[in-house]
Amino acid sequence: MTKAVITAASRGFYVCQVCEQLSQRVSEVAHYCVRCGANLHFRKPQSLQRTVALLVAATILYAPANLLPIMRTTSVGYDQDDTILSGIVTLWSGPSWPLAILVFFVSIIVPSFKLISLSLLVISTHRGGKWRLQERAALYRAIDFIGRWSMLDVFVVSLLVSLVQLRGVASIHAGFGAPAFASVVVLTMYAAQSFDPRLMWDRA
Amino acid sequence: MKPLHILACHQCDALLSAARDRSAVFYCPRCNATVLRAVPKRLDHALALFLAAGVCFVLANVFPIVAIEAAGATVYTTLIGAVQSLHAESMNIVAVVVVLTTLVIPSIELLCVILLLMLAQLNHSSWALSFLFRVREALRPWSMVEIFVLGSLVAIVKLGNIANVVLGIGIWSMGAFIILSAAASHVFDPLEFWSEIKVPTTRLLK
Repeated sequence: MTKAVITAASRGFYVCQVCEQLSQRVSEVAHYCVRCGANLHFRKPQSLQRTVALLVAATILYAPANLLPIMRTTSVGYDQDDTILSGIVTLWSGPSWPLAILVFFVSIIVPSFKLISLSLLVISTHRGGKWRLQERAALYRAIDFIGRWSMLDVFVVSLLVSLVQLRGVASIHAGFGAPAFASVVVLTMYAAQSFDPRLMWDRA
Repeated sequence: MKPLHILACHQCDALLSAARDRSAVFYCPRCNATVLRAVPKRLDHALALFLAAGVCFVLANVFPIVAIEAAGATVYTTLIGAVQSLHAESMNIVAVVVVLTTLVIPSIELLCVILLLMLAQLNHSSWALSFLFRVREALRPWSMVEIFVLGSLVAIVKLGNIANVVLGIGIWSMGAFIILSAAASHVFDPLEFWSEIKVPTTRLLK
């Protein structure tokens, strides 16, 4: 099936990445979408290079994001530092195990799954070939869809920091894991956006 | 150049021809991505829903989200309050991420789509229309109010055994905002939107 397909680019058509309008290439000059005015490219510019750069940055920050505490609870007589994982353990053994599963999924599974799968997509696209094309296409859509939900823990920390300020009784402060984790989420979202899934079909 | 009756899959670039059946969802035969989801044209319904969502969004930011009662004191927080606390802790990166994803970007996105639909109701086609459309499309993935609400739920459960937690008007308004904007986005299909609008013919490529 894949052999008989004609692509828009092969016939000189640009697809607008914003509104999906087709426009025909007429000259060497830069093209803009006739309908919404967005910049037109046949493929996202420097897609693989940008994705790799953002992935490397995200991978570097992944360690402090998971190892440094995201918050510190100060109560009468004791301090407790919580990383992402220890926060989930507290939630699991304490108030609500279903929420613990949810947080574990969006904060631990999703970011690591994203880093691994995006790397896999970049490598397999760079090498080219037909290996599991359908599955890779579905994988990209899943990553693109689910990535934003990892921001959950950042919001939890910001609310707890703002609420638990009971002077002399208990207070919660944010730790340096929080900015690292927020950066990982933002960087991997950008990485997924820079990846152009059409490249893997071009190189199949 | 006449408007084309062919489409290109945005995921794998296959050229496809699709009959515009009003009640169908089209999938790319090559990669299975959703290419076209035909929705009845109801731009005025979308506008009404987005305006209602706007009202809820204002309420969500004015009123407290949650309050806790502990040790004889009541502490409440608003969205802005949460951002201010982060700033006070020198967690500026986190403060910026939170204020952008839950306040600045959702408001700009909402303003854009409301203006867009109002201009469309007036049958007004200009550069403003395309500009607003592009801004909204670029911002959409970064608007995270629904994730913030889920985060509030987790925070509430975490605090449940150390303090008495009271839900504020803010969180209910956020819930209403999410439902209304989801309904509005369902009615307002960006691809259908353009078939309602006359594109200035002078800008078409020859």
